[in-house]
Amino acid sequence: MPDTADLQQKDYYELIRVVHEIAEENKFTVYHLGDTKICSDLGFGSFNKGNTCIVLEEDTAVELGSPQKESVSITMWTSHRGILSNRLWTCGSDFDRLIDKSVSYIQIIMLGFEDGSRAVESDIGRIKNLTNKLPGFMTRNMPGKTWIRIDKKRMQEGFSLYALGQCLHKAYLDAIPDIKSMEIILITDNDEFIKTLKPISEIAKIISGDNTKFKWVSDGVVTCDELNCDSCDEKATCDSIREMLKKRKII
Amino acid sequence: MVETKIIAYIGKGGTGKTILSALTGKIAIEKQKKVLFIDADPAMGLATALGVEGYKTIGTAREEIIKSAKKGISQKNDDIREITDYVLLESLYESAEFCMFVMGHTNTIGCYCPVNSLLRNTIKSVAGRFDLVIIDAEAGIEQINRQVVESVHYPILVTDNSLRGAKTTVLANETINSSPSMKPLKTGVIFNRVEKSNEDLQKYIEDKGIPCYGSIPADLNISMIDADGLSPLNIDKTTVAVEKLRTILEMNDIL
Repeated sequence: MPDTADLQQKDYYELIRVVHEIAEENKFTVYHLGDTKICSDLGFGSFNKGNTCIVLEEDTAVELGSPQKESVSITMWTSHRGILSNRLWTCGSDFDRLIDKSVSYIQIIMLGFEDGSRAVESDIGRIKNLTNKLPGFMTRNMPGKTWIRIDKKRMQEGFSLYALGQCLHKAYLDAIPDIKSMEIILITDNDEFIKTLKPISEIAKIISGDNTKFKWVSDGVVTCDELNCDSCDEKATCDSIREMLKKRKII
Repeated sequence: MVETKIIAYIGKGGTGKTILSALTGKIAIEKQKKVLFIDADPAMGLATALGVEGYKTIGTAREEIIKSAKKGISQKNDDIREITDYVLLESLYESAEFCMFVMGHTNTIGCYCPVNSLLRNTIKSVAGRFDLVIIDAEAGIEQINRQVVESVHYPILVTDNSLRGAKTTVLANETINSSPSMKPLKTGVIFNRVEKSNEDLQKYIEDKGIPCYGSIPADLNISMIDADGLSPLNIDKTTVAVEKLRTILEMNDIL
């Protein structure tokens, strides 16, 4: 089971700690995760396989993190005990109060496993795709980005950041019974948070292997084989990562 | 569930496949149909004709998928499928009137087969949301050989009053019939930009078992729209070419 070994090697404890710091410093609305009733009321369930459901622009009521807007999406896990406590953190206007139909979006999913969990890394990344699990809801994912469209019917029937958080929680628990605790952060339309959290997303990509240019050393040092930083096309990313690491006293 | 019809205009270059694709879309939109255009010609003439700008081509999408897969080490087939779904939806041009995929071309050295494969999968996954999918195929029969136009219900072969046009039509029909994956409901020929089809050429085509739907005359209104760079969707619906095309499509239960 090489994926299981990877899961233990790639512990995001330090990043989760930084995300917690950022969340504590700011005004978030905090809920408890575990409201399964709202999920069943919304018709949540796996009613089809694959990503075939498409919500077209003309049917869209709310669009989050589209390619024309900023998007930060991070999925992390740790086996450190006591750090995660089944909380949903939300910030920004809720879906029914958005001024613009299409806004930037941040989604951070943090999972707590016991040592020796048999969860598979590639599955963990895909569970956040609620396409075909939630009627009227479409997700498209790229490393570091999540693009969501919610259709008009879904919104008319009622939908919110709270509901989305609960559905994501249920999706993970249904798929991976190994999960001991979980936290989710959902933020709409906030450029400041995008700026703050993007370096964390970049580090997460290095740890996960979605970016092989850099290497993450467990004590918080990022290295790479590039000889000339001035000509490197990842210089901006690298600078933002180093700045964040210094600021958050990881190095 | 929408019952989707897929039409493809196929024929030799210069016979007017692009304008017929656009006019078919116009007629369908007027009938309140949801239309998806697929500009499968690397020259991207249909996109230009309809004034579509700011799109990402399927060719560009393909390059991004390859780049993304090369950058990461952890991406398995399912991960690449997720990236493909993202990039392909990004490639879907969406307006209030219609949607469009533009195949474009790729700068990456190599054959078009992976792009065509993406296009096929995209047609399958997206087409179901539309009443009508209209494919403006590349000139000749290459795309049929590569099965780009697989799953087409109504291949419409377009020719002019030239022997070369007629021969391309017959060859295209043979290719369609010999392709195991192509099961068209109905195939026929339109003589385009001619007052009347050449009788000998029409007989030559019909003798090969291909019905002729009719002919569409050259239309000054279309030439003017072309010259001014205006969208054929804005052409007067009573113009001769539109009326003739509407009659052909309705009489053959295509629209």
